[in-house]
Amino acid sequence: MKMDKLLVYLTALTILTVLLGNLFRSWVFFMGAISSLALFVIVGRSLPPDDIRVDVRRETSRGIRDVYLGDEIELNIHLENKGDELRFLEVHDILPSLVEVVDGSNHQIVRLEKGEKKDLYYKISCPVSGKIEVGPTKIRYRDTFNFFSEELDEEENISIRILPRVQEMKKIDINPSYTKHWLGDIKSKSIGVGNEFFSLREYHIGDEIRDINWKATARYQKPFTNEYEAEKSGDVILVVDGYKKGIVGTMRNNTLESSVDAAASLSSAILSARNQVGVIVAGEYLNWVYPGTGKNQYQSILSNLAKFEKGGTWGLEGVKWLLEDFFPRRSMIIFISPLTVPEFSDTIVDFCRREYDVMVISPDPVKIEKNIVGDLGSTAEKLHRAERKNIIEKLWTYGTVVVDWDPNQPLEPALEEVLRYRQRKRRA
Amino acid sequence: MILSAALASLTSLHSVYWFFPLIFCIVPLIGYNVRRLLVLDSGILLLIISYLFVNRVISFTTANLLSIIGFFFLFVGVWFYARNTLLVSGIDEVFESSSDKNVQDFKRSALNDLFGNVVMGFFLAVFAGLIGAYSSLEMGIGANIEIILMVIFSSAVFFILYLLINIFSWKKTA
Repeated sequence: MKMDKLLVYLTALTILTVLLGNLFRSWVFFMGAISSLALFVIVGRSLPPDDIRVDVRRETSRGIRDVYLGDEIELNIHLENKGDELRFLEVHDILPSLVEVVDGSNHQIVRLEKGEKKDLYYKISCPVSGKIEVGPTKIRYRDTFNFFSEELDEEENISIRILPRVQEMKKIDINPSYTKHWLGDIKSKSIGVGNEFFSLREYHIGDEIRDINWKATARYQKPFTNEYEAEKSGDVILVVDGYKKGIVGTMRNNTLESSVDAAASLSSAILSARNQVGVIVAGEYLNWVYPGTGKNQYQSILSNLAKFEKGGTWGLEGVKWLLEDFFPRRSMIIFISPLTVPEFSDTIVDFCRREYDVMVISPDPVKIEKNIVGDLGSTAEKLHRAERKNIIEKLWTYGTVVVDWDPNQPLEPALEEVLRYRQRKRRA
Repeated sequence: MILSAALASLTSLHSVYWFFPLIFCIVPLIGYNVRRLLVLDSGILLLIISYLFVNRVISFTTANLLSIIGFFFLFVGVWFYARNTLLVSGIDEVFESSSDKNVQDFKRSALNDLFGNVVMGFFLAVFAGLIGAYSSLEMGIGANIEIILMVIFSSAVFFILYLLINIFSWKKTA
């Protein structure tokens, strides 16, 4: 039936007027019944179109499905009216609650002539990394008096991955203490393949001609060859703590988001130094990427970080067996954790005691909280600070390098300072 | 709404219940203000019934017939207009760009629809009312006019039947 509500009202009115007309024996009520029938015929005839068919297609501009956090993505909705003229068509693309519409609107009203095609555009941005589902597209036709509405076809969802924000870190040299044989950027203080001059020795058969030091050869009247300092690389494993109970902050600004951003930035910096990087993300599920190098490795790390779900299943102690059984020994492990769950510091200490080179990057939860709520109350803040200071000091005592990072500031300066200290300590 | 109810009351002063339309217009007014369509709709139906009740004893004349049908469609016009206003105000709330061309077009087309439906409905109701009056109320008319009316009425009945069948056989093609 075209107009359900109107039909009900007018039928009720007709029946009522006929009954009352009989009751009061009055022609006036019968005129009311006739009028309501006439109204029904006219309105029912003219209002909703007989054929309501609209083709809907939604796509992202240039088919992009991966964007970095904070970047904008344009969505296009193509409409084609294959039925009669539609004066009021409400198009609503359903978006997840965190997604922001930065330009245009995901909820629009359009008028479509018969056979008309129309494209609607809007831009979105997502403040948190992860996978978002855009859609379905709800399309509703309504008549001018709001008696009739019709929901039309829905376009399927599309998934967009919001990759974590990557900070440029040029000056950072995270050199693992234990290096492997393959070529990298870490000076190993031993002779091998590299670019930096290390020493001279007499020429042996088989030495490359280009390695001959011609000045020394001329001076001593016998051939000398340059020796170079071996440049090696190491394995770095980033362990991101996504344990739900330990996360501090709001949906948009929290320690987990900061940890994920830090992991993405670090993996980019460490990979560019030709080290092998692996990632373990511990949250609702345990996801990991085995150490590797190159652009593909970087992409797989980013996609792993993007699909990461926080949860209460896997704490840091849960990754112990994974690191021990599946990842290379003597790797450098960088824990990225707010250190809000006290047991986790014991796990980190446990790793320090073994043959791992451990570093902790800890986004400061107090700073995040303070940034959100303003003043925390001096006593509460002091207590949190003291607690955190204790944990960090304990970790330093056991030889862990801890970067106490204010997530409202870039990571590079805080990391650089601690790495400088680490290098001095190593030399000493 | 108040104006139409006041007008209805003024033209019904012959009855002791002349104030009924004024009282019954409160219900749709409340429905309109609290944006409850069900209250608005049922209030308007009550207003129409109350108006018919107030005038139930008036004599059958062409002027009274036009007046009854006229007021019926006046209330219907107010009803449709109120529903459209609520819809448009809902659009304005949801959509920031209410100045958008599509929304403006929609508002304009609503007024056209309103006017067209009410006027067409009124004439059809007058026409159908005359059929009723002629067939049931023993209205005295000349023999020549009777023949012409018979032809017109028969055509009208078939036409209305055709429209009704057309409306009821509508299928959701979307």
